[in-house]
Amino acid sequence: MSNTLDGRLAVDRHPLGLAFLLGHHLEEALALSITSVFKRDQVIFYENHWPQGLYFVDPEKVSFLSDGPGSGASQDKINLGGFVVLGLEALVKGEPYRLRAVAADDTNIYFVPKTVFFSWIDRLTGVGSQAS
Amino acid sequence: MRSYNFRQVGCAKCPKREKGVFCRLSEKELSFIDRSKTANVYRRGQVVFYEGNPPLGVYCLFSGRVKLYKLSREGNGQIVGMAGPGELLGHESLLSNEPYAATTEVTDDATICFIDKNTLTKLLEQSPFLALDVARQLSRNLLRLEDKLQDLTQKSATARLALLLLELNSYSAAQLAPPIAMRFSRQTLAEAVGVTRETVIRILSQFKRRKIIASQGQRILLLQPQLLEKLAA
Repeated sequence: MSNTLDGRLAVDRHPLGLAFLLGHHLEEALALSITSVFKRDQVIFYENHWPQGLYFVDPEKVSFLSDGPGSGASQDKINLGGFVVLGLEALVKGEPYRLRAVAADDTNIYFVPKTVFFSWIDRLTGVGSQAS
Repeated sequence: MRSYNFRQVGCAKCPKREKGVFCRLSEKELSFIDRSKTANVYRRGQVVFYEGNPPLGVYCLFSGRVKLYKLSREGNGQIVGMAGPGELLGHESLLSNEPYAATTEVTDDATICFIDKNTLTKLLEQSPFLALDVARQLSRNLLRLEDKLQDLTQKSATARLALLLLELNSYSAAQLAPPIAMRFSRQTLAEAVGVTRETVIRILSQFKRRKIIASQGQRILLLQPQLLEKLAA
């Protein structure tokens, strides 16, 4: 796989369903994250890069830019209890980011690696226990 | 616009692996990395990770070059290292659980694989070979840094710049005649050597007058590498 999900996850998971799960288990998801402080103008991720995981950000402190034809695109983001989750759709569908995310001001960024995220989702939905 | 959706090389078939810390992993372990890694193409000037941020994982260079630099309080950069294909980045911070000590910026378009902290930790727990090879690389890095520290305190600016040009040439992907010491601005060279830009310009002019080097824009051709080696000694 690497840049895309493995077949099972790509078929079984839907961004909306995962967003719903995230909304109900936000604190738990945040507990899995690694917190970084990005300074103003530092890049969180680049346009056309494949997702390494999920980012929970303060919506007012992150802006989205494009270097080229992506300027008309919108970044997939989901509002959840004061946070915005970036790149869930890209991660689940195995697509690259459409825009570059940049810190508009000094801000905390909470990152959950994709392996950690999908293991957690599997535990939450019981997929792991069914498989074993 | 160039497509980023390149065909990804699996770790087992990666030609750069033989040079790196993953050279002795089993097929099963390599496929474990394949399932969790993310490969991305970074353009020149793009940043892989920032100094002061906690380590999210390690980065393995498949192609291209990066520079590692630290910023002073005044905002001036000091290059503390360079890396090329097959090298691992960020493992020092990951293993010590300390923030990244330097910012890593791409100097030549690079394909870089990201392996998250969890995956690498699991592999380190399972593979004594990997743990040993990572320890070896850490030791080599330490020895290299000790040499650099000695160079910085004991060698002249001319010797340090000669050494840097030779080092940059060793990162060159193709063996060209004459060898090329990559594309770097005078300011970047100054930061790497630890002198002012003016000093770099003066020394490069001396090298040019002596026909040791020639310039092609920001590229530096090494016309007489053996003379540079003498100057660097």
